Amino acid sequence: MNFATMNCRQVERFLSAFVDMDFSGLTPTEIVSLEKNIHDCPDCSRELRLDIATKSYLRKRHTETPCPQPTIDSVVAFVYHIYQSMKASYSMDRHAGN
Amino acid sequence: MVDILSSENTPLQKRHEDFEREALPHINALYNFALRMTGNADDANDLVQETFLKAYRFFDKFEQGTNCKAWLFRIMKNSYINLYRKKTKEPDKVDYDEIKDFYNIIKSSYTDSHDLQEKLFDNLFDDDITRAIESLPEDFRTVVILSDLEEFSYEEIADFVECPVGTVRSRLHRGRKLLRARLFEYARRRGYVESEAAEAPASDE
Ligand SMILES: [Zn+2]
Repeated sequence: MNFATMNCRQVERFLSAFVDMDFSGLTPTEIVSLEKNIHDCPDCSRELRLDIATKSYLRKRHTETPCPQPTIDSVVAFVYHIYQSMKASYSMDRHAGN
Repeated sequence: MVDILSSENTPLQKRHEDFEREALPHINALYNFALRMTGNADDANDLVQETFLKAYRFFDKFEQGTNCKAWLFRIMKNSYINLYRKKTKEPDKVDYDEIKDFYNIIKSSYTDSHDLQEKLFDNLFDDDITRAIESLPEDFRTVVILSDLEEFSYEEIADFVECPVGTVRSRLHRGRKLLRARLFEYARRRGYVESEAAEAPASDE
């Protein structure tokens, strides 16, 4: 793909990189070309601003439901139970000289 | 006096303590992701328990220093596929007309992102936001949650969804766009959209 002569549809596929500031898989030259494309095009710049606003809106407004305490307790208890049985078989092996 | 038994068990004890320190704090994030994937608390509980049990058994495979949350999410995803995906119907297709309508409306009335937030979405209820996220088709919902709510890197998301980074990037854009369309629709139904804009064609979902 020629990054210097991209149309809006093509630029759109890369917009997220500038929302999340994650440029994995892009070369510095490609990043600069994309930046110029976005900067020079009102539609693409607007689209980028909307995506940034959407991300920050989501981060600000989403509510996390706390994991119910009985679930946490049962995970902790079960994990501890496995730990105890591992410990038991470990020391049995040791005493058996394995 | 030295406790012989506990000093004998030090590697196991360390493993257990590492697990408690590294993995357990992510239980809320996992529960919320499970809730959004399954849509109900009972299934989310089962999924969280199954995930932690598997994670504990295979904790030796976790590479210390890497992202434990991402590792747990991958385990959860595999459990989810095994347990639930078969039961659910095919993910719904994206309604591109819905996005188009949103853009026709939004272009004429709200020209910048500040307006978008201030005028339209700030009045929405928390439930609307949860519902909007849950309403996204799975492919889009997953990347949006992992990036925007869980702060995964593109590499981590790509690993999770087993797609190239480029696909993650474009799905994120389309997911956010669709989410805006859904939020706009809720705002319109609640009467927050000014009359001029509300007259423009909107999708009848
Ligand atoms: Zn453009």
